[in-house]
Amino acid sequence: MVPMHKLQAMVAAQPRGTPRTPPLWNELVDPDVRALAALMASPLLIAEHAAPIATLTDA
Amino acid sequence: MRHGWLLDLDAAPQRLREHLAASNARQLGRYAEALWRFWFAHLPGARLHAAGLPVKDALAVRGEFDFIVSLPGLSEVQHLEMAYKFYLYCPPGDDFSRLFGPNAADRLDRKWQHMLDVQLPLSQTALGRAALPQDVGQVTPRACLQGWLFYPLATGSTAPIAGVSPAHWRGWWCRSDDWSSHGAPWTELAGAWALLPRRAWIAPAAIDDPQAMLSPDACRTRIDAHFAASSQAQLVAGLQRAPDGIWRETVRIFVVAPHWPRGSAAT
Repeated sequence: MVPMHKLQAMVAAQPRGTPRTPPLWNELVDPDVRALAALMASPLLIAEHAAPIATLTDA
Repeated sequence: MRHGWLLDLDAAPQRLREHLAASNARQLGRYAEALWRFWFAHLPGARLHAAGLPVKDALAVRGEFDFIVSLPGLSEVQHLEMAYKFYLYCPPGDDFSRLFGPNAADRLDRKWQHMLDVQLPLSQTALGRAALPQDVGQVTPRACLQGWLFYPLATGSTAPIAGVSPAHWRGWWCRSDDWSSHGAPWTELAGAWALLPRRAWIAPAAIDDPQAMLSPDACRTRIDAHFAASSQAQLVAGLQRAPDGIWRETVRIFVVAPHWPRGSAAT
């Protein structure tokens, strides 16, 4: 099992990517609009491919 | 621009709801596809030329283009192949073949190779070009594989995976027997818990109903009951109450069956 100090570090280290602005979805209420905003902001998973679609962070 | 557009949509979401209802988007993949389609169709400066466009050889369907779209800031028309996925990292090894979907038959290496070898080249073939809308000449093919990666809670291992973008969104995963054991580490990760329905998997959770929050014991009971009857993975969000009274996700954990990913041809 993971020791407590490591767990606390795990929580602290749980990033949501590296957004340059506060997540917009915290301002949104409708669940479908929140899903759309998160989908637009999600980084690509594969490193070699530069994002073809501008994300919310450059809005 | 997108910020204001989304805030306006949030204030009057009816047209998005109607679009989703008409899209028959019950599966998560279809739901993401319907969201993208709405975005491309309505985003100022974008033009959606085609979506779900079949490529046919006589009567036989040889493939399908997800989206043919012009986007602001990009001069060429784009052929986009999109996927929104949830993969769980299962050591040992640090390559794409160790990233499994909650349904372990789905693996990142297979999905990525299929996008590169089958889906993207289609628009560069004579058959593919013939299927494009008449007002579209050359297109630039791009693969957009988005989603979340989950790391094993049992070891706390978040070692970099070769080729994966370091900016990806992430969570943890554990097997249901570890989840149910007393003193399990997840209970310390958040103040309250909620089981997320599939359509709530994409965005970090925000819940305004305190009655929907589960204590660790109640959450454990719900998970035990689920896995007594099913082997389907469950996504669980840990939440903390924000100053505005909304419970917001601070951690997410996929709980999978005790023998996952064994039992599928993927392993």
